[in-house]
Amino acid sequence: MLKSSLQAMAGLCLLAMAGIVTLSMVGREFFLLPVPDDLLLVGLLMVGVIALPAAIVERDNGHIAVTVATQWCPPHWRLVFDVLGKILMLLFFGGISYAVALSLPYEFTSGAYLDGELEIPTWPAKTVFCVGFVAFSVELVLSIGRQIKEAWHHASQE
Amino acid sequence: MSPVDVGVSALILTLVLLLIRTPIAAALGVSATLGTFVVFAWRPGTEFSFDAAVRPTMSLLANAPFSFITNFSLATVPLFILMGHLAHEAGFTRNIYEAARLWMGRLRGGVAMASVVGCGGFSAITGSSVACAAAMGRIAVPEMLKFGYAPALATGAVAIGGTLGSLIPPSVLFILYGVFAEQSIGRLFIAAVIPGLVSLLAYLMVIHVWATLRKADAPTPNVSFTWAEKWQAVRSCWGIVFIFVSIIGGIYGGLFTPTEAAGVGATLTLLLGVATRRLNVPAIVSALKESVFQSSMIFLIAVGGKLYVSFIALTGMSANFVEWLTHGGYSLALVMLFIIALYLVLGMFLDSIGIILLTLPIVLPVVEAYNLSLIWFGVVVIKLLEIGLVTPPIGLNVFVIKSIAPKTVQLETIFRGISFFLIAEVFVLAAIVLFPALSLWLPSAM
Repeated sequence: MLKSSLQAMAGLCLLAMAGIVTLSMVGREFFLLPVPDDLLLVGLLMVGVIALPAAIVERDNGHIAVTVATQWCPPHWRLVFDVLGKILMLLFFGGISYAVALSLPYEFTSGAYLDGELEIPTWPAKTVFCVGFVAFSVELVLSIGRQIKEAWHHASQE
Repeated sequence: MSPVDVGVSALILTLVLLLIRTPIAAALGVSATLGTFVVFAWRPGTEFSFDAAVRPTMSLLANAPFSFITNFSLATVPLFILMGHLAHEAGFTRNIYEAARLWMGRLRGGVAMASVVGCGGFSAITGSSVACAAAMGRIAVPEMLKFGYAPALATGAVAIGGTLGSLIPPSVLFILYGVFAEQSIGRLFIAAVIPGLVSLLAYLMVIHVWATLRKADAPTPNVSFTWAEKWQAVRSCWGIVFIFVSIIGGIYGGLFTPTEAAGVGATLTLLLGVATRRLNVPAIVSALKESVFQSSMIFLIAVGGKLYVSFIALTGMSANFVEWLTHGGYSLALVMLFIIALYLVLGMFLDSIGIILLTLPIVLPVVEAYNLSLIWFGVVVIKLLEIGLVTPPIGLNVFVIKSIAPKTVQLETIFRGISFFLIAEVFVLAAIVLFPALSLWLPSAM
């Protein structure tokens, strides 16, 4: 439910991006009036488009990996490699989420904003970034748990 | 430990991780992060210091991915992906194929030719080869098999036609190349137009020769169409032509940037689809879901790639490599042959985006050192990556076609079908490499 909501929000961000870019182009060419800070707004909406559906990508196993070298391995070895791959994903993207989250309190209290007409604060986009990647990390943990359980089940059957 | 040693070790680690099924995003990201940490912790002539490396590594993780994702140029990727999905949901894909089939169906191998032309047309509104092969494969493969075409020709034609998706603009791969090579995405798009058309013509020639030599593989359908039906089919494609002309004409004419073209293209497709009642709410929702999923998947890899590119720059590895090459006095031809072989081999095993991100930090400085045009080189690289999509053992387009073809069609059959087209690919690639004007003439007129 949560993941689907995040994906829906990402879809809305994408629609908004298309709308802002078009409006700004039409405004600039025909009325000499582009959308203020259109480049920044689109860049910030990109955070929603990319980070929010990351958990769905993990749930649907949407990551690209090279499988040709291990397709001859026994299934339990492939499972070990898959779990290792997910742990590395967790370390990398969990590390990014942690590093961004650490900077959030400062961004919030200092009132940091992006240079531009609208002086858009930085914390909302960084919060969205963290929410997306934390949801992704949680999904990775669940996925690792499921795979270890599966491996345990196979081992006990053998 | 010198930064170059760390760079080489990290490169080996990346390759090992890739070999043991680690997702490309993690393989690039983990080795880059670890490598960055070691470079700062173990500066030449000093003791290993954990504390000295924590702050720069954390700073890299906190800032690089976020600022990369918010790059305005990269917004082009999800917007073009959305445009492609909306166009597919609106049925524009079928329109192009139907029009091509009505006009070419009576030619020898005409239905297969129509599939390739359909791929070329759909490529004009989608940025992905795999999406192009999947969309056209669902329509064209069953139809060709129904008309009695040999499975090798039916599946091979669509698998190879799908590769036009990344060559004919717009193209996700060109956008990523443009961002990482710091080249104008608009110029790259325009540069790819002629090579894309040359590739399309080469595929049509292969089909013609195949159908002439082995008539049983491509029987001529016993159906004919009136001129009225043919013109009606062409008229039904006006939407897709309008969108393509708007975005490419807009970029070429300097009316808007590629990102604006992507935004305008997506909006136009949405409005056209709704106005002609081809798009309803469930179709739009489906297109949005697919687009954000695909975009997120691509960017997870690109984030890893971004850190990897920064790390390689930090080690100075590329500069050393260039120095070694130039001091060795290797000829340009030898270097180009090596680069082509490298991309062809990697293309057999790795995904296109992964190859771009893995190789560009090292290869681009070499290309620059030899004073070659990075626009031309971009076209060469994308062409090589496209060939990688249909070469065994990992030909992504072939797998896509396998997944949608009847169960009786074996993977070997599709690869056998592809092999005839690969001969043409060698000539097309040679033409693009030997005659840079094919790629550079149009951008020079911009």
